[in-house]
Amino acid sequence: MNYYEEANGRVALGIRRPEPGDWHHGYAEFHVLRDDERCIRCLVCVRQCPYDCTFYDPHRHAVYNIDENCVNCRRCEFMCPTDAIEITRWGAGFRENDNWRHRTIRAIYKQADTGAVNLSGLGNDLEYVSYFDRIVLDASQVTNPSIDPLREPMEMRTFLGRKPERLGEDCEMHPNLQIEVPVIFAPMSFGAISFNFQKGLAMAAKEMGTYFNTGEGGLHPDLRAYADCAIVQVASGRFGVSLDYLAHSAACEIKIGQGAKPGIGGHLPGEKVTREVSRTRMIPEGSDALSPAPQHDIYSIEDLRLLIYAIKEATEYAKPVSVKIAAVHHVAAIASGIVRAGADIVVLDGFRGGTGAAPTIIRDHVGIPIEVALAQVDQRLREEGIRHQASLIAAGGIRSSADIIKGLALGADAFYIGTAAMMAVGCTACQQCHRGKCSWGITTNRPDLAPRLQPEVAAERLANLLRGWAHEIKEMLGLMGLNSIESLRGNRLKLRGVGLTQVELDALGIQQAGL
Amino acid sequence: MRRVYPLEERCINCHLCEVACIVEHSKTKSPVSAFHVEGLRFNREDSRTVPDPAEALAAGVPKPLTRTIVQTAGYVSVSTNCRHCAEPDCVLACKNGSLYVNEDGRVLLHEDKCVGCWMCIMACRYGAITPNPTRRNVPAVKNNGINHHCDLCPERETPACVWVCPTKALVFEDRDVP
Amino acid sequence: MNYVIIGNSFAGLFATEAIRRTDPEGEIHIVSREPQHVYSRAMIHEMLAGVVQEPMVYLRDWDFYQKMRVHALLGRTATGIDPKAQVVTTDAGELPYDRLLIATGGKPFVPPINGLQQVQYHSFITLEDARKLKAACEGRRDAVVLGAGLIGLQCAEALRHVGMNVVVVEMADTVLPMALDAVASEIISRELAEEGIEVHTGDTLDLVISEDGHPTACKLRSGGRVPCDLIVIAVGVRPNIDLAKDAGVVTDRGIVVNERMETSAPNVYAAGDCAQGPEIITGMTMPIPVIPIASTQGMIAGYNMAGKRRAYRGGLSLNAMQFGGVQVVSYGFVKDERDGEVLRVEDPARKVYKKLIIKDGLITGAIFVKDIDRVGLFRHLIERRIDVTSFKEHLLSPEFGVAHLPAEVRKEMFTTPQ
Repeated sequence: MNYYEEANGRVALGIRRPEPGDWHHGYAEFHVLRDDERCIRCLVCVRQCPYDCTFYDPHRHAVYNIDENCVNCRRCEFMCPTDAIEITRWGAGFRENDNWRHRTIRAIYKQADTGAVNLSGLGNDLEYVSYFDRIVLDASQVTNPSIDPLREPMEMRTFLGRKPERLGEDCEMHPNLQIEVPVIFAPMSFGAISFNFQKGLAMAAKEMGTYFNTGEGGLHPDLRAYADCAIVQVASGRFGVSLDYLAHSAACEIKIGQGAKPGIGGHLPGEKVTREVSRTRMIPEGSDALSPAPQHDIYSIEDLRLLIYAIKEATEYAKPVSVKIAAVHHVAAIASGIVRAGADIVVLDGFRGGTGAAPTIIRDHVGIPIEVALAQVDQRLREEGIRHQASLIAAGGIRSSADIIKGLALGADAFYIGTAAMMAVGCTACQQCHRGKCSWGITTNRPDLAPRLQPEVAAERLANLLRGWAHEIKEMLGLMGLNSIESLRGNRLKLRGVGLTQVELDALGIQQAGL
Repeated sequence: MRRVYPLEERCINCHLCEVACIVEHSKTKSPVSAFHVEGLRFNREDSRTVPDPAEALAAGVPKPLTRTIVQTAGYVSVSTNCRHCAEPDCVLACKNGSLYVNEDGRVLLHEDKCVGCWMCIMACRYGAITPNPTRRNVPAVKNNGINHHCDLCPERETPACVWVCPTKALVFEDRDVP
Repeated sequence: MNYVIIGNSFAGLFATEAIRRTDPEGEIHIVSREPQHVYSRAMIHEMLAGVVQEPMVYLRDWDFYQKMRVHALLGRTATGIDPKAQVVTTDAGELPYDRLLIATGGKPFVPPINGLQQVQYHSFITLEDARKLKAACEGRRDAVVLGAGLIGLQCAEALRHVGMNVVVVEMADTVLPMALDAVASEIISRELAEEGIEVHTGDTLDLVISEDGHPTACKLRSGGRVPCDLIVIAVGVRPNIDLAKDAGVVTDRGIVVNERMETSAPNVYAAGDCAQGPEIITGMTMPIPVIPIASTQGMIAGYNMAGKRRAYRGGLSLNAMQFGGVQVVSYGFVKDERDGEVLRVEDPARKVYKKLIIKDGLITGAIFVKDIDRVGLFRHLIERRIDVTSFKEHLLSPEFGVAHLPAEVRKEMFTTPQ
């Protein structure tokens, strides 16, 4: 849209004229409503909006919006001292059409404008079934008494890694990660997220006795103090990977794929590669960081074994090595191969997993739900008698302690949370992470935006989230008559399905409710 | 003595401190009344009056009558206010003894005595004083006003700017060396 | 401990407070020829104009001397100092001292002018001068003010305000020649013209014509002749050093003092308009007769007198004034541009003028007309000798502020107690 006239360096409201090459902006999705009585022209919203949506007009002494730029991040609503702002959907939008939805039409406009791949942040937001929301939990009543978590100890601690073949005095022990709560902060790279957020994750992990994952962005030198809580990732771009990097970690993770974009590599747009990001990743400032699709030295399961053992050698067999894959077809067979290749931990990332940037079309259509992947992998590994050789971490849109309880019962040892962690520190799911203008200072390293999230504030909120969930988990364990996480693992009998077909029930390995 | 100290790495240039300061020092203590009815802005009787467009553009954003000033340069922003110095430059410069050091250490103004000579603005090496045109003790002088600087919010336990800051970029603490 | 202070204005006042803060028991005597409660000489022009009420002129509450437990010997003149015997002689007895502060301020300089001594002319320094001048305005119409310095122009503006016709005559080429440069002087001249004050620069009085001891007209050196029934002489103030000089204390233009305000005589200090103390830009001593310097010197002198050793970093010429609603602030040496880089901003339509003189990275002179937002920052830059080279281009921009300063400077100013 040719909206603007630069007048004395200030943007004034000029004539709006639809331009070829910019039709996707023609129809605003959101409308910023401002109560003129309450608006005190303090200009806080003008200064806070990073999307060129909010301006001040000195002629009229009023604040106005260019609504087509609004992404519904809600920062202005959050900061307004007199609560004068409401963001709404723009009127009728396109005529109601369940087949040609607003998002579908705009996506076509945008591609006709740019000829490029449409990108998004966060995870799959289409209306696929959530199996978690169709699973319900058992509770003890008369025949099997519940345990009161406020009066009896609950064992929340668990260990991730390879377990011995058999118990005994001389059994062979392998390195394991001890975690006090079965929730770990998901891989999110420095560059995709801000330094302050990553520091907050590290601090909260240390406080709560769990871990954070560096993602494929390397470990910033200022975070080395948290090495004991860090799982460092070796991804296809090998950003920041060195012996030193591997040394400053509790565990190493080989990333084969992620739920948001299975089969393709990571993507950090150039505008997000600041000086600090470029130094940590060891790449030029301002250049797009595109990881290759496959790891170019892993073309077969045997190659994976070579890399796993190369890392074990480099870390003197002192740390568990994890392998992360996206949940795809035949995931059970793939996972079995990975375990046999020597991985101590297998991470399964479902199709709801989030990302800093991915082609929208891939984010929304590739991969399978974590619930079925988890159930199938757990089942297969048990059948093959190798379930003890690796722990399973499930990821991909874990939203609450209920998802965790259900996931544990389906077979997971622990969970990664990414999107939920971001929401704990203010994310409003506007899906603009890829643009590097995050209003909340979470997914940007721009010096004017990053201070909006302070590490101490982030750490406290993340720790609070884990505390709240841990308490809920204890309550849900107790009400089932269990007093430890490990008693729930793979315990499908504690779950029932509601509104699922028999095929789905079988895939999940659970029974119909009522039976 | 507790004073307000800035942590500039945390400042996000939102200016909520200025808004809170204005509201706290208004008669009505309500943001909407303070800005619209009391018109607490520079050179403006009512904040809704349409100014001369050329003057408005030249003046840029009308400066609010705040006692803490957010100053910005590139990515650095910091909210600054009166340091309540032990040997205040302004008290040493004040032409008629309107500025004084209170028993509790705060630097305060006898509002009915100040003649708006601006010796204090000249003297204050921290740039913490602004003219307040809403009160004139010498109306015969054009553009008269009185001294206007932070008073550490005497009616509050914690100054308003410290309370409102969303990133805790202002702290109220005692850093005196005994 | 016996403290005696000669003089009851800013220097004497802040010295009293500093002494009392340090020595709660010592005896303090203030001797002052002027009978009034401590007042501000800078307020007399507003008194003359009738735009302020009298209470605004006094620097402290009526009970100040009682609260401070000070013996205020007002209306008493000190006539001599004996530094060996440590005694001050006054017109009503002797005052022995352990520590003496000479804070006698300045006295007006009256040039020799033909016919001047035949008439009753006015000075404009003390409150009494202002009262006499105000009374003299009754029934008179045409005032001539000799001198367009700060005092002369403030007097002129006040006389104009009470309805007199006013002509100002100044020897230099511009008004306010000590405080301002040519551009700023020009802006002020225009304000004065708008107020209806007639100004003749580069000129002086050749002759005062009188009748029965009253002036009727003045002849200007340039040849003009102006009607005149009231004359004010405001050509300059000299440091009042007679007492010190007669006592054998070292004087130059003023009473010479070191960084602790000590004079050459033991236990004798000097501060204020009468003193010649260290100046920070040149590193030399010079009299700086402005309120903030007088107050600071008085305070430092007081501390040192009471036994608390304090050193004065040095003063700086500082001026703040307004004419016709146009404010002006200046620092340092505003006319000396030799070997210096000059930065300037001018917006004649809005009467805005800003100028900085920078030598070897340090600001040596600064003027600000109309836009005086946060100008005190420049005082800090000058007094602390901060090198401005790295942020030079921002200095005169409207948003220039603490955020433009080097981080260490800003942190020292705002994160440590001051």
